[in-house]
Amino acid sequence: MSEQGTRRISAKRGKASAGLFQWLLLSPSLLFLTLFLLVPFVMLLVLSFRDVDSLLTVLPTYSFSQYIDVFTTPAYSRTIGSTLWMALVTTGICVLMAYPAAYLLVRTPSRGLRTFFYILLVSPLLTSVVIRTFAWIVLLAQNGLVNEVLINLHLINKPLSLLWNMNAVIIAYVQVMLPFAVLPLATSMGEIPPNLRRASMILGAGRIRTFFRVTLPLTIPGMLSGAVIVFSLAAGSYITPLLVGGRLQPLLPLAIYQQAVQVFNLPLAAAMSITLLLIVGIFVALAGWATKRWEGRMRDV
Amino acid sequence: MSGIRIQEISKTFGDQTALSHVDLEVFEGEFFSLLGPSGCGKTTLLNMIAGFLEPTTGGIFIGGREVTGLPPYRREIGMVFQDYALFPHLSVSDNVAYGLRIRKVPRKEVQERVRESLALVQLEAYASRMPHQLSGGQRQRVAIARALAIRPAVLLLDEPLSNLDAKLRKDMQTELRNIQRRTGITTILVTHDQEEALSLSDRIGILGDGRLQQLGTPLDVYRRPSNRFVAEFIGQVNLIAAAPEAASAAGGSSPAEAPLGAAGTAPYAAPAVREGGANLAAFAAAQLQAAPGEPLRLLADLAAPEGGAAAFSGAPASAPAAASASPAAPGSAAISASAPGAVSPQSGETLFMLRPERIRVAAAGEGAGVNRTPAAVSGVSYAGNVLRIRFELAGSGSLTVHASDPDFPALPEPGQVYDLYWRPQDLIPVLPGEGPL
Repeated sequence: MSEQGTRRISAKRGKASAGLFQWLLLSPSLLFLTLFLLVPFVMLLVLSFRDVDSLLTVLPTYSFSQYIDVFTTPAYSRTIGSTLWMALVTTGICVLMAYPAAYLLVRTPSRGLRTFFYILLVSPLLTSVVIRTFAWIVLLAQNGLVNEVLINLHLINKPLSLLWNMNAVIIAYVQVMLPFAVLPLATSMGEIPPNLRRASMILGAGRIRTFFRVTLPLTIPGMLSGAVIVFSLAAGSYITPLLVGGRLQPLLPLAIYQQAVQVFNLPLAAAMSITLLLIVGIFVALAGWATKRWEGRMRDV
Repeated sequence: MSGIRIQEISKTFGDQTALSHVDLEVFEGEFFSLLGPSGCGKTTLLNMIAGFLEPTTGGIFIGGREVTGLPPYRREIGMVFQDYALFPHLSVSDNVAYGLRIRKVPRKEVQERVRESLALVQLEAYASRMPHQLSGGQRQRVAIARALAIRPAVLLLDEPLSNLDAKLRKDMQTELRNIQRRTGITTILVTHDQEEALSLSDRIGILGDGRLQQLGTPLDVYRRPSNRFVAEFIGQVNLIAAAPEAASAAGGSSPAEAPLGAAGTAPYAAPAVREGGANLAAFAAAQLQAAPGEPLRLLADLAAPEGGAAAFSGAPASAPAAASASPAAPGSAAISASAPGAVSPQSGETLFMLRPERIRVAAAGEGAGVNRTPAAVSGVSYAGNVLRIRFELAGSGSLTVHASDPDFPALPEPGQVYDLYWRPQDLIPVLPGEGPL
């Protein structure tokens, strides 16, 4: 056998053992994920196709009855619609607010100042969700800070009801989810070669036109990956809407909790959960497809 | 089309001086190069012309209009960047059309001018490609087409060829020059590649240490460098410090004749030697010794048209301050072809430049002319068309010689002794250190 052939075979063997080693390294986390994510998910899926009798006892028969229930009961479809709407609005606001913030992070020349901005940005994530949400209650309540200031400025006569509605949920979400939108955006903004901006400017475009014609198109992948995270979190979180919106808000996570823990209709809760997963899954897939298409234009995949 | 006037530009970053008192004019339709080692301030100067930086003091005029303080998008400049800076999300034709669409040029005309610009760089067939589908050379040409499509007043090239491989770089050099000739656009090329600057430019400005060291044609800066920095940066040199020979000590050939008026014009206190109808000045190079303790006698023709007498108006012999206060030019050690320690001119000495290709090599004892010395080969580096040979003199000192390939059917062996000789006019006096300009 030629020397080259021998070397190729030994290289292949080396690769195989390296592969085995990688699997070994991965096995604890794979095992964990299988046991605590994959298995429960399959159980949830199975449960969602079960029937219940009038006393909500789970029967051994399978049908689509729970899904039919989810999509035909007006209260439930309204809940799906408003969950989707709330998540989209939150995502939109986060993305809009993320652009100037990412711009600031990328363009700050001083390293120390930049670190300060990063800390400021992620600080909501470092506080407990309960503390953070109670801070919003303090601010937005009938006798809260915002209402008092507005009344003292004689801008309003009666306190506004800022809490226990969807707007409060969106405000609280934007605060905590902004960093998830800003960080990927800042990364993709920082990867734009500085000469592209210069080329645009020397060709006659001012800062604003350079932003819309160069920076914005080139940050679409970063913007989308931020949007995916914000959307998934906003559609699926439970504690924040419960605390600032109240348990009666038409939101899927609240409805699921209600069915599972209070009504104890587990198959219906499972069907709602799968529906929520599907909504998020479709959004993630759409964003992924858009990102791939856009990046494929710019480089070979 | 218009010329560019750089008026007394200085730029400081904090307490760092990047450029000081640079003053130059690029004429209309000229291909001008800014040449210098990295960190010399050439890119800073280009960025100030483009408007990405503002000068600390001084002004920039394009076609008589002051552009200092104007943002880049108001300057009507075409620029080609080192990394090409093509917009990756736009096709070739959209890249070229970018500046036209910003200017709200009518659609029909945009199409026409895109086609025209792409034709200029011979890329019409690639209009619908994306930048990532092009080779480096093609991207380069798209960048040029994009810069020219807006019909700018001037074209700035920021090391545009440094990312290309050697062969492609040569082709692109020719193409750049052709495009520039065809369009007649005033062009400034920033480069650290001296060969590129020499072969492309009408004139070259050499920047070193934030100052303009010399301004001249390629021939000027190569053959008559104004100072040691330029001599060492452009091409390779042997630098030889030599003292004027005392008239009484003039040995060997005929004693010094009456200077015949030459002493009045030449600022050297060297005795004139009449040789072959020319007035030659005699010097003794203490650091070059054919035999131990015997400084090599150099005869230089200081009035030769090819030589440096005209450019070399500063008189080192009468201005020893310049010589004693000559620090080694920054970065020069790496470029220098001569032994580093051997070339610090003492007070009263003159520094001569002797290009390696000007030294001729003959079999031992067969050298001709007034400047000759035997020397032994100490190293040979074969570069194809040229042989770089290092010679050691028996006493002290060494010389680098570039000999042409056909002259040596067999490579010289280390230790082999040859005769080296050169003409008096090949010894070019240069100012030590950097010169004021």
